[in-house]
Amino acid sequence: MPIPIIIAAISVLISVAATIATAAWDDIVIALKGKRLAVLGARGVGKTHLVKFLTTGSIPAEYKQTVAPEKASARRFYLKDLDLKLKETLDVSGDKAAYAEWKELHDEADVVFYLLRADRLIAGDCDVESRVRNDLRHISGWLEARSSRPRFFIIGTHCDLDAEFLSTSSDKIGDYVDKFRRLPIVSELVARAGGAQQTKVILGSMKTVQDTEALVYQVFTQVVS
Amino acid sequence: MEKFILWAQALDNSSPDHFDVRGKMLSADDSVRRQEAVSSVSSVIKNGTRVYDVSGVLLTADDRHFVLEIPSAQRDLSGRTAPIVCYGEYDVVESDALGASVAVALDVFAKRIGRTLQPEHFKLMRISFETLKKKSSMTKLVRTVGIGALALAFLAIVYWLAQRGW
Repeated sequence: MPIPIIIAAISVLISVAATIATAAWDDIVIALKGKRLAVLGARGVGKTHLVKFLTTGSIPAEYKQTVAPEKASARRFYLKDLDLKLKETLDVSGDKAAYAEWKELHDEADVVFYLLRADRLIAGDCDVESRVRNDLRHISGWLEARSSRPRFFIIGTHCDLDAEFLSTSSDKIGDYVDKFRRLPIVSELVARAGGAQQTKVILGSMKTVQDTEALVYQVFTQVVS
Repeated sequence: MEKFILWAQALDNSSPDHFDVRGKMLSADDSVRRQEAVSSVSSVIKNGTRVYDVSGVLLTADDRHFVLEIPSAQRDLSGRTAPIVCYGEYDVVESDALGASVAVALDVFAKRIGRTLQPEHFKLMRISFETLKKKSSMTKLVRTVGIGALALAFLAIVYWLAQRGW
Protein backbone atom coordinates (compact mmCIF):
# COMPACT_ATOMS: atom_id res chain seq x y z
CA MET A 1 0.00 0.00 0.00
CA PRO A 2 1.50 3.36 -0.93
CA ILE A 3 2.69 5.47 2.00
CA PRO A 4 0.39 8.51 1.30
CA ILE A 5 -2.69 6.27 1.57
CA ILE A 6 -1.45 4.87 4.90
CA ILE A 7 -0.79 8.40 6.18
CA ALA A 8 -4.24 9.55 5.01
CA ALA A 9 -5.89 6.53 6.68
CA ILE A 10 -4.04 7.23 9.95
CA SER A 11 -5.05 10.92 9.79
CA VAL A 12 -8.70 9.96 9.31
CA LEU A 13 -8.52 7.49 12.21
CA ILE A 14 -6.90 10.09 14.47
CA SER A 15 -9.50 12.76 13.58
CA VAL A 16 -12.36 10.28 14.16
CA ALA A 17 -10.84 9.27 17.51
CA ALA A 18 -10.37 12.93 18.45
CA THR A 19 -13.98 13.74 17.54
CA ILE A 20 -15.27 10.80 19.60
CA ALA A 21 -13.00 11.75 22.52
CA THR A 22 -14.18 15.39 22.39
CA ALA A 23 -17.83 14.36 22.28
CA ALA A 24 -17.31 11.93 25.17
CA TRP A 25 -15.38 14.59 27.12
CA ASP A 26 -18.23 17.07 26.59
CA ASP A 27 -20.71 14.46 27.88
CA ILE A 28 -18.55 13.98 30.99
CA VAL A 29 -18.21 17.74 31.54
CA ILE A 30 -21.98 18.21 31.13
CA ALA A 31 -22.69 15.36 33.55
CA LEU A 32 -20.35 16.84 36.18
CA LYS A 33 -20.74 20.58 35.73
CA GLY A 34 -23.85 20.97 33.57
CA LYS A 35 -26.91 22.82 34.69
CA ARG A 36 -30.42 21.48 34.33
CA LEU A 37 -32.87 24.13 33.19
CA ALA A 38 -36.60 24.34 33.69
CA VAL A 39 -38.30 26.63 31.17
CA LEU A 40 -41.81 27.41 32.38
CA GLY A 41 -44.55 29.76 31.26
CA ALA A 42 -48.03 30.02 29.78
CA ARG A 43 -48.86 29.18 26.18
CA GLY A 44 -47.25 31.21 23.42
CA VAL A 45 -44.63 32.97 25.56
CA GLY A 46 -41.64 31.44 23.72
CA LYS A 47 -40.69 28.35 25.79
CA THR A 48 -40.17 26.11 22.76
CA HIS A 49 -38.25 28.85 20.95
CA LEU A 50 -35.86 29.26 23.90
CA VAL A 51 -35.44 25.52 24.53
CA LYS A 52 -34.79 24.86 20.81
CA PHE A 53 -32.25 27.67 20.66
CA LEU A 54 -30.43 26.39 23.75
CA THR A 55 -30.36 22.78 22.61
CA THR A 56 -29.76 23.20 18.87
CA GLY A 57 -28.39 26.72 18.37
CA SER A 58 -31.13 27.60 15.91
CA ILE A 59 -34.70 28.82 16.18
CA PRO A 60 -37.61 26.76 14.82
CA ALA A 61 -38.39 27.27 11.13
CA GLU A 62 -42.01 26.29 11.70
CA TYR A 63 -43.84 26.86 14.96
CA LYS A 64 -46.30 24.45 16.50
CA GLN A 65 -48.14 24.39 19.77
CA THR A 66 -46.44 22.23 22.40
CA VAL A 67 -49.16 19.81 23.43
CA ALA A 68 -47.26 16.63 24.41
CA PRO A 69 -43.89 17.43 26.00
CA GLU A 70 -40.69 17.10 23.94
CA LYS A 71 -37.32 15.88 25.12
CA ALA A 72 -34.53 18.44 24.64
CA SER A 73 -31.03 16.97 24.52
CA ALA A 74 -27.96 18.01 26.54
CA ARG A 75 -25.54 20.42 24.88
CA ARG A 76 -22.28 22.24 25.47
CA PHE A 77 -21.80 25.42 23.49
CA TYR A 78 -20.06 28.75 23.51
CA LEU A 79 -21.80 32.09 23.36
CA LYS A 80 -19.27 34.95 23.15
CA ASP A 81 -17.15 34.46 26.30
CA LEU A 82 -19.58 32.02 27.98
CA ASP A 83 -19.04 28.24 28.04
CA LEU A 84 -22.53 26.82 28.56
CA LYS A 85 -23.10 23.23 29.67
CA LEU A 86 -26.75 22.27 29.70
CA LYS A 87 -28.22 18.94 30.77
CA GLU A 88 -31.15 17.23 29.06
CA THR A 89 -34.49 18.84 29.83
CA LEU A 90 -38.10 18.78 28.72
CA ASP A 91 -40.14 21.29 26.74
CA VAL A 92 -43.54 21.26 28.42
CA SER A 93 -47.04 22.47 27.65
CA GLY A 94 -48.11 25.88 28.95
CA ASP A 95 -51.58 24.75 29.96
CA LYS A 96 -52.47 24.80 33.65
CA ALA A 97 -53.12 21.05 33.39
CA ALA A 98 -49.35 20.66 33.06
CA TYR A 99 -48.58 22.15 36.52
CA ALA A 100 -47.56 18.72 37.83
CA GLU A 101 -45.03 18.43 34.97
CA TRP A 102 -43.81 21.97 35.68
CA LYS A 103 -43.25 21.04 39.32
CA GLU A 104 -41.31 17.92 38.42
CA LEU A 105 -39.14 19.93 36.04
CA HIS A 106 -38.68 22.69 38.65
CA ASP A 107 -37.74 20.22 41.39
CA GLU A 108 -34.91 18.75 39.29
CA ALA A 109 -33.61 22.09 37.97
CA ASP A 110 -30.56 24.14 38.92
CA VAL A 111 -31.94 27.17 37.10
CA VAL A 112 -35.60 28.04 36.54
CA PHE A 113 -36.73 30.44 33.82
CA TYR A 114 -40.29 31.70 34.04
CA LEU A 115 -41.26 33.30 30.71
CA LEU A 116 -44.08 35.81 30.36
CA ARG A 117 -45.39 38.16 27.69
CA ALA A 118 -43.84 41.50 28.77
CA ASP A 119 -45.70 43.35 26.02
CA ARG A 120 -49.07 42.13 27.33
CA LEU A 121 -48.28 43.08 30.94
CA ILE A 122 -47.14 46.55 29.81
CA ALA A 123 -50.42 46.87 27.89
CA GLY A 124 -52.32 45.98 31.10
CA ASP A 125 -53.84 42.71 29.83
CA CYS A 126 -55.90 41.49 32.81
CA ASP A 127 -56.06 37.87 31.56
CA VAL A 128 -52.26 37.70 31.34
CA GLU A 129 -51.95 39.30 34.80
CA SER A 130 -54.33 36.75 36.24
CA ARG A 131 -52.48 33.85 34.60
CA VAL A 132 -48.98 34.92 35.71
CA ARG A 133 -50.26 35.59 39.23
CA ASN A 134 -51.65 32.05 39.34
CA ASP A 135 -48.43 30.55 37.92
CA LEU A 136 -46.26 32.37 40.47
CA ARG A 137 -48.53 31.27 43.31
CA HIS A 138 -47.61 27.68 42.40
CA ILE A 139 -43.93 28.33 41.61
CA SER A 140 -43.30 30.29 44.84
CA GLY A 141 -44.60 27.30 46.81
CA TRP A 142 -42.24 24.96 44.95
CA LEU A 143 -39.31 27.35 45.45
CA GLU A 144 -39.97 27.53 49.19
CA ALA A 145 -40.24 23.75 49.46
CA ARG A 146 -36.82 23.09 47.92
CA SER A 147 -33.95 22.60 50.36
CA SER A 148 -31.49 24.08 47.87
CA ARG A 149 -33.22 26.88 46.01
CA PRO A 150 -32.60 27.01 42.25
CA ARG A 151 -31.62 30.29 40.57
CA PHE A 152 -34.87 31.91 39.47
CA PHE A 153 -35.36 34.28 36.56
CA ILE A 154 -38.43 36.05 35.24
CA ILE A 155 -37.88 36.58 31.52
CA GLY A 156 -40.17 39.05 29.76
CA THR A 157 -40.46 38.22 26.06
CA HIS A 158 -42.04 39.82 22.98
CA CYS A 159 -40.68 43.28 23.88
CA ASP A 160 -40.37 43.93 20.15
CA LEU A 161 -44.16 44.28 20.15
CA ASP A 162 -43.91 47.25 22.54
CA ALA A 163 -43.34 50.55 20.70
CA GLU A 164 -41.46 52.06 23.65
CA PHE A 165 -38.94 49.20 23.67
CA LEU A 166 -38.31 49.66 19.95
CA SER A 167 -37.69 53.38 20.35
CA THR A 168 -35.44 52.98 23.42
CA SER A 169 -31.75 53.30 22.70
CA SER A 170 -29.40 50.68 24.16
CA ASP A 171 -27.99 53.13 26.74
CA LYS A 172 -31.53 53.77 28.06
CA ILE A 173 -32.62 50.13 28.21
CA GLY A 174 -31.88 50.01 31.96
CA ASP A 175 -34.54 52.68 32.54
CA TYR A 176 -37.00 50.65 30.45
CA VAL A 177 -36.32 47.54 32.55
CA ASP A 178 -36.65 49.55 35.80
CA LYS A 179 -39.98 50.90 34.62
CA PHE A 180 -41.15 47.33 33.88
CA ARG A 181 -40.03 46.16 37.32
CA ARG A 182 -42.07 48.93 38.91
CA LEU A 183 -45.32 47.66 37.33
CA PRO A 184 -47.51 46.55 40.27
CA ILE A 185 -47.95 43.05 38.83
CA VAL A 186 -44.19 42.61 38.29
CA SER A 187 -43.40 43.86 41.82
CA GLU A 188 -45.97 41.37 43.12
CA LEU A 189 -44.41 38.50 41.13
CA VAL A 190 -40.90 39.33 42.32
CA ALA A 191 -42.11 39.54 45.93
CA ARG A 192 -43.86 36.17 45.61
CA ALA A 193 -40.69 34.61 44.23
CA GLY A 194 -38.61 35.71 47.23
CA GLY A 195 -37.75 39.35 46.49
CA ALA A 196 -35.38 41.21 44.19
CA GLN A 197 -32.25 39.56 45.65
CA GLN A 198 -33.50 36.10 44.71
CA THR A 199 -35.34 36.91 41.48
CA LYS A 200 -33.77 38.50 38.43
CA VAL A 201 -36.02 40.16 35.85
CA ILE A 202 -34.73 40.21 32.29
CA LEU A 203 -36.42 41.64 29.23
CA GLY A 204 -35.87 41.12 25.55
CA SER A 205 -37.09 39.82 22.26
CA MET A 206 -36.65 36.51 20.46
CA LYS A 207 -37.81 37.72 17.06
CA THR A 208 -34.55 36.84 15.32
CA VAL A 209 -31.56 34.60 16.07
CA GLN A 210 -29.54 37.73 16.98
CA ASP A 211 -32.25 38.95 19.39
CA THR A 212 -32.44 35.48 20.96
CA GLU A 213 -28.65 35.31 21.31
CA ALA A 214 -28.62 38.72 22.98
CA LEU A 215 -31.36 37.67 25.43
CA VAL A 216 -29.70 34.32 26.20
CA TYR A 217 -26.34 36.06 26.72
CA GLN A 218 -27.97 38.55 29.07
CA VAL A 219 -29.58 35.72 31.06
CA PHE A 220 -26.56 33.42 31.23
CA THR A 221 -24.17 36.20 32.22
CA GLN A 222 -26.24 36.30 35.42
CA VAL A 223 -26.58 32.50 35.69
CA VAL A 224 -22.79 32.02 35.78
CA SER A 225 -22.12 35.07 38.00
CA MET B 1 -62.81 6.51 21.73
CA GLU B 2 -63.15 4.67 25.03
CA LYS B 3 -59.62 3.33 24.94
CA PHE B 4 -57.82 6.61 24.44
CA ILE B 5 -56.93 10.01 25.83
CA LEU B 6 -57.19 12.76 23.22
CA TRP B 7 -55.70 16.20 23.85
CA ALA B 8 -55.52 19.44 21.89
CA GLN B 9 -54.61 22.99 22.79
CA ALA B 10 -57.19 25.74 22.27
CA LEU B 11 -56.58 27.90 19.20
CA ASP B 12 -56.99 31.16 21.13
CA ASN B 13 -54.15 30.16 23.49
CA SER B 14 -56.17 31.27 26.50
CA SER B 15 -59.15 28.88 26.78
CA PRO B 16 -58.51 25.58 28.57
CA ASP B 17 -57.09 22.71 26.48
CA HIS B 18 -59.54 20.14 25.05
CA PHE B 19 -59.38 16.71 26.70
CA ASP B 20 -61.32 13.56 25.89
CA VAL B 21 -60.50 10.86 28.41
CA ARG B 22 -61.79 7.43 27.44
CA GLY B 23 -64.85 8.79 25.65
CA LYS B 24 -65.70 11.69 27.99
CA MET B 25 -64.89 15.34 27.34
CA LEU B 26 -63.40 16.85 30.51
CA SER B 27 -64.84 20.07 31.82
CA ALA B 28 -62.56 23.08 32.36
CA ASP B 29 -62.70 22.73 36.14
CA ASP B 30 -61.84 19.02 36.22
CA SER B 31 -58.21 19.81 37.04
CA VAL B 32 -57.46 16.45 38.66
CA ARG B 33 -58.36 14.35 35.63
CA ARG B 34 -56.74 16.88 33.29
CA GLN B 35 -53.47 16.61 35.20
CA GLU B 36 -53.74 12.80 35.23
CA ALA B 37 -54.15 12.83 31.45
CA VAL B 38 -51.10 15.09 31.01
CA SER B 39 -49.05 12.88 33.36
CA SER B 40 -49.95 9.75 31.35
CA VAL B 41 -48.76 11.39 28.14
CA SER B 42 -45.61 12.77 29.78
CA SER B 43 -44.67 9.41 31.22
CA VAL B 44 -44.54 7.85 27.73
CA ILE B 45 -42.50 10.76 26.34
CA LYS B 46 -40.02 10.59 29.23
CA ASN B 47 -39.62 6.82 29.39
CA GLY B 48 -40.35 5.76 25.83
CA THR B 49 -38.59 6.12 22.51
CA ARG B 50 -39.52 7.99 19.34
CA VAL B 51 -40.66 5.34 16.86
CA TYR B 52 -41.77 7.56 13.98
CA ASP B 53 -41.26 11.20 13.00
CA VAL B 54 -42.42 12.17 9.51
CA SER B 55 -44.13 15.42 8.38
CA GLY B 56 -45.31 16.31 11.86
CA VAL B 57 -46.71 12.84 12.62
CA LEU B 58 -44.86 11.67 15.73
CA LEU B 59 -45.22 8.32 17.46
CA THR B 60 -43.52 7.64 20.81
CA ALA B 61 -43.96 4.37 22.69
CA ASP B 62 -42.86 2.63 25.85
CA ASP B 63 -43.42 -1.08 26.55
CA ARG B 64 -47.20 -0.81 26.68
CA HIS B 65 -48.35 2.69 25.76
CA PHE B 66 -48.08 5.01 22.80
CA VAL B 67 -48.41 8.75 22.25
CA LEU B 68 -49.30 9.85 18.74
CA GLU B 69 -49.13 13.49 17.66
CA ILE B 70 -50.80 14.49 14.39
CA PRO B 71 -51.05 18.00 12.89
CA SER B 72 -54.45 19.52 12.22
CA ALA B 73 -55.09 21.91 9.34
CA GLN B 74 -55.85 24.80 11.70
CA ARG B 75 -53.41 27.32 13.18
CA ASP B 76 -53.66 29.12 16.51
CA LEU B 77 -53.82 32.89 17.06
CA SER B 78 -50.02 33.09 16.92
CA GLY B 79 -49.96 31.28 13.55
CA ARG B 80 -48.63 28.00 14.99
CA THR B 81 -49.79 24.61 13.75
CA ALA B 82 -52.17 22.98 16.20
CA PRO B 83 -51.54 19.24 16.66
CA ILE B 84 -53.79 16.69 18.35
CA VAL B 85 -52.32 14.11 20.72
CA CYS B 86 -53.64 10.60 21.25
CA TYR B 87 -52.53 8.32 24.10
CA GLY B 88 -53.41 4.68 24.54
CA GLU B 89 -52.29 1.13 25.21
CA TYR B 90 -51.05 -1.09 22.42
CA ASP B 91 -50.75 -4.77 21.77
CA VAL B 92 -48.47 -5.92 18.95
CA VAL B 93 -50.95 -8.61 17.89
CA GLU B 94 -53.79 -6.10 17.48
CA SER B 95 -51.81 -3.19 16.11
CA ASP B 96 -53.53 -3.21 12.69
CA ALA B 97 -56.91 -2.80 14.36
CA LEU B 98 -55.38 -0.24 16.70
CA GLY B 99 -54.36 2.03 13.81
CA ALA B 100 -57.92 1.94 12.50
CA SER B 101 -59.51 2.66 15.89
CA VAL B 102 -57.08 5.53 16.59
CA ALA B 103 -58.04 7.02 13.20
CA VAL B 104 -61.74 6.85 14.09
CA ALA B 105 -61.15 8.36 17.56
CA LEU B 106 -59.03 11.19 16.15
CA ASP B 107 -61.59 11.97 13.47
CA VAL B 108 -64.48 12.15 15.97
CA PHE B 109 -62.45 14.28 18.42
CA ALA B 110 -61.19 16.62 15.69
CA LYS B 111 -64.73 17.23 14.41
CA ARG B 112 -66.00 17.80 17.94
CA ILE B 113 -63.45 20.58 18.58
CA GLY B 114 -63.72 22.06 15.07
CA ARG B 115 -60.47 20.76 13.61
CA THR B 116 -59.67 19.11 10.31
CA LEU B 117 -57.20 16.28 9.84
CA GLN B 118 -55.61 15.72 6.44
CA PRO B 119 -55.86 12.35 4.64
CA GLU B 120 -52.06 12.25 4.12
CA HIS B 121 -51.54 12.51 7.88
CA PHE B 122 -53.96 9.61 8.45
CA LYS B 123 -51.88 7.59 6.00
CA LEU B 124 -48.66 8.47 7.85
CA MET B 125 -50.35 7.58 11.12
CA ARG B 126 -51.15 4.07 9.85
CA ILE B 127 -47.52 3.69 8.68
CA SER B 128 -46.35 4.81 12.12
CA PHE B 129 -48.33 2.00 13.77
CA GLU B 130 -46.91 -0.51 11.27
CA THR B 131 -43.42 0.71 12.26
CA LEU B 132 -44.31 0.30 15.92
CA LYS B 133 -45.55 -3.25 15.24
CA LYS B 134 -42.30 -4.20 13.47
CA LYS B 135 -40.11 -2.68 16.17
CA SER B 136 -42.12 -4.24 18.99
CA SER B 137 -42.09 -7.67 17.32
CA MET B 138 -38.31 -7.43 16.92
CA THR B 139 -37.86 -6.32 20.53
CA LYS B 140 -40.03 -9.21 21.75
CA LEU B 141 -38.11 -11.67 19.58
CA VAL B 142 -34.73 -10.43 20.88
CA ARG B 143 -36.04 -10.56 24.44
CA THR B 144 -37.42 -14.12 24.00
CA VAL B 145 -34.21 -15.37 22.37
CA GLY B 146 -32.15 -13.72 25.13
CA ILE B 147 -34.23 -15.27 27.92
CA GLY B 148 -34.15 -18.64 26.11
CA ALA B 149 -30.36 -18.49 25.78
CA LEU B 150 -29.97 -17.61 29.45
CA ALA B 151 -32.28 -20.47 30.46
CA LEU B 152 -30.31 -22.93 28.30
CA ALA B 153 -27.00 -21.71 29.76
CA PHE B 154 -28.43 -22.12 33.27
CA LEU B 155 -29.62 -25.68 32.51
CA ALA B 156 -26.22 -26.53 31.02
CA ILE B 157 -24.46 -25.31 34.19
CA VAL B 158 -26.86 -27.28 36.41
CA TYR B 159 -26.29 -30.41 34.26
CA TRP B 160 -22.51 -29.90 34.38
CA LEU B 161 -22.56 -29.50 38.17
CA ALA B 162 -24.78 -32.58 38.52
CA GLN B 163 -22.33 -34.61 36.42
CA ARG B 164 -19.51 -33.59 38.77
CA GLY B 165 -21.51 -34.79 41.76
CA TRP B 166 -22.24 -31.33 43.33
